[in-house]
Amino acid sequence: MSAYKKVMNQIHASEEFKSKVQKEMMDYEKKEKGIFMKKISLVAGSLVACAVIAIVALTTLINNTAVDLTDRIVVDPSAPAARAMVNIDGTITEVGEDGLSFTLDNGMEVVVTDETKLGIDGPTAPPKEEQLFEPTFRVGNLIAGYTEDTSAKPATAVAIYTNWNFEDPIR
Amino acid sequence: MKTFAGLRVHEIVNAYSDTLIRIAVQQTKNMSEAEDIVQEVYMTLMKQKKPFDNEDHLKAWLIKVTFNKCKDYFKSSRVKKTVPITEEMTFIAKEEQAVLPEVFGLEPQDRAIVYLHYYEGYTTAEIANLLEINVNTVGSKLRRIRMKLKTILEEGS
Repeated sequence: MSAYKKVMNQIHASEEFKSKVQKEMMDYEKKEKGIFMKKISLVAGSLVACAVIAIVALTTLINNTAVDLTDRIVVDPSAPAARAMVNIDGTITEVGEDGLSFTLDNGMEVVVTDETKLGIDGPTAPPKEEQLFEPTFRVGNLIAGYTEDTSAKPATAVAIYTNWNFEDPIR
Repeated sequence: MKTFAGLRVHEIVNAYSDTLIRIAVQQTKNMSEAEDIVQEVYMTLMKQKKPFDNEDHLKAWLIKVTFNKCKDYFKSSRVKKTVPITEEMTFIAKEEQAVLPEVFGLEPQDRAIVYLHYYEGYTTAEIANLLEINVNTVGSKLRRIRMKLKTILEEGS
């Protein structure tokens, strides 16, 4: 072996140096992974937030569509004239989460179903857009309607003729 | 765990540290500076995104970066000019310490060429690629170095 190689063989990295460097490299990797995970959770968080916003927006949209009560008003001028009987009468003090049940100021609890007839029908009925009927039930609205069982709690409405807030109407 | 050319971090440090330290020591003539430079090389590797084809590619990259870091070292204010080389290399057997002044008497680039050729076994073309110099320049430099360091480069010397 040449003298040059013999000398070179004696020059080498110490075990201490290797351990120190390995530790630094591992620390760097951990730090890098931490930053990566942080970014991932940030992206995931943003995606979740976007998804939640989208779901809420969609739900609101669907709900809004579903509770637009005026869509259910059918005006049939050829329908026979009849005197409407009113036994649901009062101002809404509380509306249920589904938007289709409410309590009146007289304490009567009313629930509106798919079968409940909304608005006024018959030859004397005004056009749909002129009827006193808001798209939703809300606190303060004046309600006039009919139920077959006034003692039931809640009373299922057969018909709701009026749903209107005279002070602050929404059409 | 991060791997480069299929090697894990601790495998790379174990496999290439001696080579890189030898290169850096021959350039800086200082062991602690050499260690700092090699450490920087490894940290540069950790930031490296480009994959390596194989272990040879990785080794060549590490050698290249070490040379470049050494060049940067000489441009920096870190350079320690007054440390006597043999004082730093006390771990080398006394009878062999005479080799060091001869090696360190060469130009920095010539030290790299002699190490890569006589110790690592790289060809002139490979050295030219590693040091980014002309292959003919490597050849002529090698001839000149061989003449100059004849005694220490000869086998059995």
